[in-house]
Amino acid sequence: MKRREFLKTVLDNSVWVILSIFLIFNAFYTPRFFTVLNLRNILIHSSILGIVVIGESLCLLSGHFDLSVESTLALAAVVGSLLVKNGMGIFTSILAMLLSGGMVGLVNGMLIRKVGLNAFVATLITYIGVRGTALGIVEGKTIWNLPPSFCFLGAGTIWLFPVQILLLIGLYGVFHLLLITTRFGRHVYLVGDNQLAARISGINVDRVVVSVFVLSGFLSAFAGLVMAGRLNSASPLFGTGMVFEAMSAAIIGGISLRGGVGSLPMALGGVLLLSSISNVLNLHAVSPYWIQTIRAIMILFAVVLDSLKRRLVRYEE
Amino acid sequence: MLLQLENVSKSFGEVRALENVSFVLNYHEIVGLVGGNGAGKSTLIKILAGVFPPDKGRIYLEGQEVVFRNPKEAHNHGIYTVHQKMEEILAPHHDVTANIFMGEEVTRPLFRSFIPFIKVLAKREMEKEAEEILSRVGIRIDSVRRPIVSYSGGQRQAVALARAIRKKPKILLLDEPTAALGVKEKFQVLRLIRRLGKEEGISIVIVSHNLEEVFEVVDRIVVLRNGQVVGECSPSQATKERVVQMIVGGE
Ligand SMILES: Nc1ncnc2c1ncn2[C@@H]1O[C@H](COP(=O)(O)OP(=O)(O)O)[C@@H](O)[C@H]1O
Ligand SMILES: [Mg+2]
Repeated sequence: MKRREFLKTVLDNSVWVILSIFLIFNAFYTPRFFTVLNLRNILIHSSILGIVVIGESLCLLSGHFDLSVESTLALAAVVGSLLVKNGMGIFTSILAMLLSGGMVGLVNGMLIRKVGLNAFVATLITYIGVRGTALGIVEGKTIWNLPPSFCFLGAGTIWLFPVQILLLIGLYGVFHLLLITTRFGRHVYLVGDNQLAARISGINVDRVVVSVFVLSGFLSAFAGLVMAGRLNSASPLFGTGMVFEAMSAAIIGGISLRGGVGSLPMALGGVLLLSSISNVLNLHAVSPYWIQTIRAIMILFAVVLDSLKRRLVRYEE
Repeated sequence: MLLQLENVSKSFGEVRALENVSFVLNYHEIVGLVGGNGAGKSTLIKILAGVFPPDKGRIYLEGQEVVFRNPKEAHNHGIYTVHQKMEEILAPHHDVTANIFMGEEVTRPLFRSFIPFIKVLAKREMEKEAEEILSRVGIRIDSVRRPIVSYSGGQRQAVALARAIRKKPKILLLDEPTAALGVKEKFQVLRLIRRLGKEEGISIVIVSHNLEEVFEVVDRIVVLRNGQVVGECSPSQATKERVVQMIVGGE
């Protein structure tokens, strides 16, 4: 019985266990890995993906998923940059870009709950449509040279710390607390665990699902702001393919595709693990093409762990 | 009359689940709803619980017409339900407390003094209350922090029952509440139902296949067949054979 509890704790935190082993191993065997500069690099690389993963995780926890995150990121980057380049104030531009993300989320939520499409179809539509809109607005061109204050969140530092890293930590903290200490957060989990039971118990499923997608849209847009700042530019092709990375990170972190199970800190662990692996492969000058293969193996591994975990807690007749 | 259904019909596509059903529940009354599989018992319960609206017909509560657009509105009128199927009741990967409080979580202000509108879940209070209610139901659950998947069918049903009686309902609807229970648990739950009905004055509709237990706890039996009410009797005046005959039909 005690061994079982222990095993369950290990499995529940498997991503941190694996990440620690990976970090320690590479501290010895990968030159230039365990330096402050490199670890800082890993964190910086994690920040944009990490912010997108928060939104994706909210959707996954509620039993849905959001393919449109990467397109929303690009749209927001383009919208904000265009406005700021055309003389709009920094603050209003940022507000407008966040709103554009929220709008995409609202459309997703409405397509799912009011029109009755499933999450795959609904967000596939916005995934394609929003990317098209982003490309259309700037006719496929990249916008260069943004004002420094607009780039602060993506490229600035506060004392010694890059703002992106602080944002990453802050957002994970806030959203984790939202999920585990508030009624709304509890409802997100319950809707993901059993949507029918949640509805029959009187939870407003429409409101929960729409809110989750709107939050996902806001977060993707915010990631777009950070990315534009980091690269001092905005391209309608920003984040291409990122949705698969985001889903991988969340799943590797132990967030169940079936909804209702997992947590944000674990998803962050997934993000850090993926970034560390890319980083190590880089340091060893392995061709980046292999990263995909390794990621596939990790997802397989994560899914096997998940079913093992489920078997451990189930009642035995 | 506490609750009255008037000419209620409900179809699912081609299937006519209920046809012109009229039904009455009096104050302090326990009614047994019996009938074969697919007779429409669960459909009747779900209409009363606000899970879906009837196609036709009216519902009156204490003489006033009511329309339940969702389960929450039924809750607000004091109607609580234990549905038949586990997948309609419980969130399997959540702990017992989370399930008992599902949709009605208790919150407290995070900073009582300066920003009272930020509310967080009152986990400690909910756990304490969950333990109290479960001890009232009388089925052993070793920890309210373990997920539902780790408990047996009977224990799951106890959790569902605990949720339904937590707020002291005016009307309690129980759809086959003893189906998954062992002999001892069944006895305990029946005793609880009788106590809720007789001592606490809660009006109860109980669906059951087990005529033995129906005769033991109810004041009145209503028989459904093919979506219609085909008979009604009191257990003190009718025999089980007579009720069985009404359930299966024919002479
Ligand atoms: N959600 C539903 N969709 C389609 N048909 C349903 C649904 N619910 C019930 N039915 C049908 O309605 C009839 C009555 O079902 P139900 O009320 O569950 O019967 P009982 O509880 O008496 O066994 C059955 O023929 C059943 O197949
Ligand atoms: Mg039934």
